Amino acid sequence: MAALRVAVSALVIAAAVVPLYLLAKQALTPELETFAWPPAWLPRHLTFGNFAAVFAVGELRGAIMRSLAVGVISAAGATAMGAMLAYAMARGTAARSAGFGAVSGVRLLPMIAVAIPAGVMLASVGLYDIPSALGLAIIHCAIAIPTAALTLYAAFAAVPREIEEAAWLDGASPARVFLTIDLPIVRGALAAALVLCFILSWDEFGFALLLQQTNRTLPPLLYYYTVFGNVGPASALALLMMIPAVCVVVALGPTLRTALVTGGSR
Amino acid sequence: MDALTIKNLTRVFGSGGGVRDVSLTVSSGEFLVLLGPSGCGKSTLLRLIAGLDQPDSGTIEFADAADSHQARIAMVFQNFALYPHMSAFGNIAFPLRLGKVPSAEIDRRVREAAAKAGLTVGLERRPAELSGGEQQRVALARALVREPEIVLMDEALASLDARLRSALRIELKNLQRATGRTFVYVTHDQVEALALADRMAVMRAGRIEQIGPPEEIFNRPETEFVASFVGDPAMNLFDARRAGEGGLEIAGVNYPLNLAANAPPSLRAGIRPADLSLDESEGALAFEVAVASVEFSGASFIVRGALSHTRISVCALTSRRLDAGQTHRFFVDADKLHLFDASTGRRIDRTHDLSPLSLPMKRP
Amino acid sequence: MNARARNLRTAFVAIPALFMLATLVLPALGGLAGSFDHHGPSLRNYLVLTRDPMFWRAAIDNLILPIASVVLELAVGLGLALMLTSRERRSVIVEVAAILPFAIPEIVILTIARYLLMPRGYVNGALEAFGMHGAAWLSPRGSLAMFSVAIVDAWHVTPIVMLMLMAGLQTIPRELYEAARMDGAGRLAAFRYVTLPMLAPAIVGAIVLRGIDALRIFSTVLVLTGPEAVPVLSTYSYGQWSDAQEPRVAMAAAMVLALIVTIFALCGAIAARRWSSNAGIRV
Repeated sequence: MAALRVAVSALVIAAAVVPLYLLAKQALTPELETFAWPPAWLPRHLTFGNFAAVFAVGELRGAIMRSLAVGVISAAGATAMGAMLAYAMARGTAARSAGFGAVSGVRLLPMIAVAIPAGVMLASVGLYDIPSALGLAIIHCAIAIPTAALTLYAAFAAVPREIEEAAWLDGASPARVFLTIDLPIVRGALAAALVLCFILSWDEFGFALLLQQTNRTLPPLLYYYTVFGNVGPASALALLMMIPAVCVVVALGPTLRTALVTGGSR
Repeated sequence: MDALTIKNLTRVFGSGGGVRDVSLTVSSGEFLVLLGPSGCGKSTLLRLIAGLDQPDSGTIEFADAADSHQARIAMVFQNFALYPHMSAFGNIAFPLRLGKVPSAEIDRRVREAAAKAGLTVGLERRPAELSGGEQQRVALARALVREPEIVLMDEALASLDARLRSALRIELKNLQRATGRTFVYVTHDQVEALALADRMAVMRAGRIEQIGPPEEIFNRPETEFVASFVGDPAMNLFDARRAGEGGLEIAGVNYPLNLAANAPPSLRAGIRPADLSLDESEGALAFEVAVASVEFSGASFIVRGALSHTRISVCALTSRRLDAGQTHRFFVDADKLHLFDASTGRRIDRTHDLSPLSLPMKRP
Repeated sequence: MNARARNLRTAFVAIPALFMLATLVLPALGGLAGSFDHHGPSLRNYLVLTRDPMFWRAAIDNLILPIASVVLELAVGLGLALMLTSRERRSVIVEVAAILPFAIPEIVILTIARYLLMPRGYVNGALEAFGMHGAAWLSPRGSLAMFSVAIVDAWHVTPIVMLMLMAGLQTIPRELYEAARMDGAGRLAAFRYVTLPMLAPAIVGAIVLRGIDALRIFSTVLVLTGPEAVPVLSTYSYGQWSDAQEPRVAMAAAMVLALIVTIFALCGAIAARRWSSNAGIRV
């Protein structure tokens, strides 16, 4: 039994580490080596040439800025609205059902069913495929709200009602109670929601592909690089794209478990 | 006939607790209670008997089986451990179903066990739909349905409210007498222990300090710990010194007693609150008590105060209300005085010599 | 005070809901309307679908693939969850390693997978080194493509299933296992009578959530094998929009997918309610 456990643990670690190692190797070796057959498992020459190529291309710098901007804007918006929704759901029974209904319904929509007509709508207001990718940010904001709301729901529910009631008795309005009492108490969950929503936007592929055809963000760009050659820069870019998520995993570690389970979805 | 023999059992945990060198025999058909504060090892001992844990050293022998796995043991857990996805009937039937008993017989035995546990209705209900007391009965029935030789109960009544606990206690005792099975019962509640036990073992820091019938434990505690742990309100314990010709000095007052010559110089004297009386009697020892508070507890008043001119606290039970702030004289018969060696905690019999050959008990 | 609080809650539900409605639901409804439009109300777009063999292939693949993926994720996820929770000490390294594939962006996973599985990729290289033949993992001509897609998808998502099941496993009180042991249950019986029933809500939840996501699979197929090898409804719809320049037919295909997802979700919700009450937990 113990031997089986060791074997499986080794397999799990290998399944995570080996592919990442190979990607890193490809990013740090010249392209010629990568095309060799049989493929080399150990690097022979190390170079930063691929990364240089990535940053030399203006398109890539633009994509990085765009992904960052979209991520930050949509995370902020989704967290704000998600907090509103989560608070209402935590405090009111009618609101809870309505909230769950809204969240569940939205999660059901397939990307392709929304993206095509949404592109048409955005075009009609001049937000389709613009350099600032504001249209995409709006969409990302909307799809991230369920994640933010579910992450924050438990946190709000855990705030003791007595604290709010004390504030009411002291004369604060409900809005004020929310802003000055509840929000500071749940700031940990707020941070978690911001991070999760950012990662959701950073990783999102489908809407980004359909709504930003020329002014691309990173995920579709990586797709084109991968499919149309350019192994070296593609690997370098992939490695760069991993940075936010891996930072989060390493930083939070096992505490990520609850956050991922409540908000985890593609 | 012994149902169970434990010899030199030791199981130590890195985080503390466990049992150390415990030896014990349990007679068949007796209600044995393991009593002690949390961390004293009573639950560990029970789990070792159940086979849920393995000892570091020592042996456990069952009368008619090689080990815990084969012995007919059943256990009732503190939080009932009922399977929430099965009905009460399913819970009780579970051990029989595992043993591949035919269903007609399962039905009969389940209903029998349920009846013995006092469960009359609601066998089709899930545990979530039952009250605490009913859940406890289901857990009990599940333990009984296998007709075990030994029933182990781990703080089984602790999660119930006080009134229910007292009622179920009586039923439990009657049940044990009626079925004649061996019960080993763990509790931290000394009232419960005194009420239920044929014999009780008082445990502390992994060892058994005293084992015997409840009256003996109560009237003749072998150590200071047992004396202070058993009895409510707790026994009064005072520092005392040998004084003069076999006398005893407590809080500055000398009492003429017949202390043996080789009694230790430093002692601890114990008096139960119920043994302190306002009525003077022949040969009684007198204590001046400055009353600080009086509490009505139904059958009597609980009087708390201090020995005069000292800060040594005293507790006594009286049948009439006293006024706080006043000083009263309380009397106790000399033979109701318990004496313990201050350094070892061991009981000292006043009129017998402490033979130099008797081994002092090490304080753990 | 209560009235004002209620008003706040109403606003707090309305704002996000209206936002999501306007940005997501409205387009979808527009798409629904568009799918029934061809120079006026008509079923033409749907008829085009029914006459296209590629559509039927996409529909079938869209049912087989999710089943394969979810079964794989469940089996591996359950195994991993059991293994990780049975230890006394939590192995942080193994936990982080198990979660890592999910933390990585999907497109990066797919990039890695492409380099692993392409004809001159690492997997074939390793196979050849051991004296075996490489295989056409991603080729449209072979039947391995669907298998590869399922494996890669499972690799990315199994961590989430594992986490959900671990959360479920930890709600099972240890005392129940002890009681089962006292009742005479061996390891297998304990798993069958205690673990599985108590885990049922988590398993159903995992199947429903992962199933909904698996039905909508898009980028995995697009990036890994290309839509010709493993057509699914999302890529079929995308192809209709981008290549065939038939946006309304694309919407029709998308609506078919939306319908399948909705039906599955409803069945899942009903199943979830029934199974949670089984374990004595009210949903």
